[in-house]
Amino acid sequence: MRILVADDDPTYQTLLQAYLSEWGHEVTLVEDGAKAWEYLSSDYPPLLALVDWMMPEMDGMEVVRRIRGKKDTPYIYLILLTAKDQHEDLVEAFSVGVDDFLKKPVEPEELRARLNVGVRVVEYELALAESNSQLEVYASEMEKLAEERAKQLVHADRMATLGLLTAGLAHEINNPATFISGNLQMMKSVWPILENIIKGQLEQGDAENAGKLEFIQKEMPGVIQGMENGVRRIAGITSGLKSYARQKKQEAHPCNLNLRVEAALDLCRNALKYQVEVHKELADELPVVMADTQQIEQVLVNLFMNAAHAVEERGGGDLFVTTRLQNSAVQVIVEDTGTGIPPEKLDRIWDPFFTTKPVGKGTGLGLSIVKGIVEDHKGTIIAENRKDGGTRFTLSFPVSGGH
Amino acid sequence: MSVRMLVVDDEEEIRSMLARHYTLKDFEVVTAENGAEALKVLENQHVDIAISDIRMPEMDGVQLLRIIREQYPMVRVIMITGYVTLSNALACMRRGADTVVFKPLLDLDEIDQSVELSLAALQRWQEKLRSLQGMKREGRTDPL
Repeated sequence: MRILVADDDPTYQTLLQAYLSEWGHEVTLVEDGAKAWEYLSSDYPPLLALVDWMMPEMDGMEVVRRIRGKKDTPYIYLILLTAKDQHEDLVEAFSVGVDDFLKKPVEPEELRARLNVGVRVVEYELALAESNSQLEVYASEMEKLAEERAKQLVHADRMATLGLLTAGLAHEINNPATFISGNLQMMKSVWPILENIIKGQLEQGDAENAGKLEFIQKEMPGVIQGMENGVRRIAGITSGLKSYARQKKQEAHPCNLNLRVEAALDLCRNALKYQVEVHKELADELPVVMADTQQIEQVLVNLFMNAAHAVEERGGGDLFVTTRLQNSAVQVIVEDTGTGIPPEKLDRIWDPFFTTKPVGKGTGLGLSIVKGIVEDHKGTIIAENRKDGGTRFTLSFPVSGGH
Repeated sequence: MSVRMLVVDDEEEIRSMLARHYTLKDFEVVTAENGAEALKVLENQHVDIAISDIRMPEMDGVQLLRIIREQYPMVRVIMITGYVTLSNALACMRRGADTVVFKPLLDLDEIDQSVELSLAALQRWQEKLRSLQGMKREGRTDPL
């Protein structure tokens, strides 16, 4: 063990160094209190010290007082060396924080015994400190887990409430959307008749209203178009809401994810064919998972469509689809070289109505539907950005155990 | 002879929208707020085609459909619904609806096509009926 010896007496220096070295310790020798303090207050101090009481510059008591007053330092076992006549003051020394004392002249056997006590205490302190820091690590890990779990629960709760809400909401929006759109189509179908009347009116030279009539003739198609776009968008949202508030998981069947990948790619062929190069790496003999084939296809189609949009925004790129067996889970990895997801938004992508697409382009429901389905299947999905740009989604489903 | 259509929906705006749309297409349109009201209409006047919502208070569309099938088998029925559930739609088809059309009716073409199909079916039946009535008349006059 590393031991600091602080003594201004050269004889003691030689003596102590000789004994300590012989007993296998590593000795640091200083000849005054200031130097002792310098060593003991360093970042990695020796954990055992023999300090002479009477020293120039700073006496042993002062060194002890300072060390005990210093915070954030490992425990240093301090043995005070005293002359006989100081014996009465030992009570004070202990109260300041000395662990032990040795009377001069020092008896080698006593020194050895007392040092061994010190070594034991230091080792015990070290072990304690280590298990404390380990406990701290555990505690912070537990805290993190608890926080994550709480987040998940809040999320799940929000999802359940939203599920109920959206079903009702979708229906409420659906009806007005129906009659707006129906009336609009009627208006559109009668517009040519009205337009002819306006034309006739203009040809007859209705000077008074000519300006207004021309304006109406010019603007009406735009008015109808605008309303049509609006209704179409509303319909997109309600249909998203309805699949979001979908019914419970339908009956699960043994399902080969390779086939589902192929089927989903097939469904997305039109969206992928111009700007996306598809690379497949599908594992041979992939075990089956118990799943609802339609829902799994919906998940994959959503991911492929997102990838297609992200890649198109960059003017083209690749889509990599990999299936593999990892531990006892079947994984589908969907990667693209598209625009990626801003890191600060990564943990919000699963929230309903959260979208990075321009207004009117996405409902923000796709990925929350995806996550819902995957979790219904006892699976997990992880989203991350790839090092060289683009996004990676990793889906894991438990392998079906038996039948 | 104009075709009489019954539109059943608890949402007034949808009733009048469909009524306007089909009046413009030369149908004679009557409306009802729910299944019970629709049955009153059926008791009092001849109806060729009924378009009915599924979810309604008082009597819903599925119940109405069942009664129409039992008591007015010649009426063609088209269901419209905002609830896209396969089981819902299948239940209606099994009970004898001509079609189920999903709301929102972004394109009235879909329901128009259903109406046309129903009309064609109606005409086939009417022709058959006329030829059957002709045969009866012949049968009756023959021995005289």
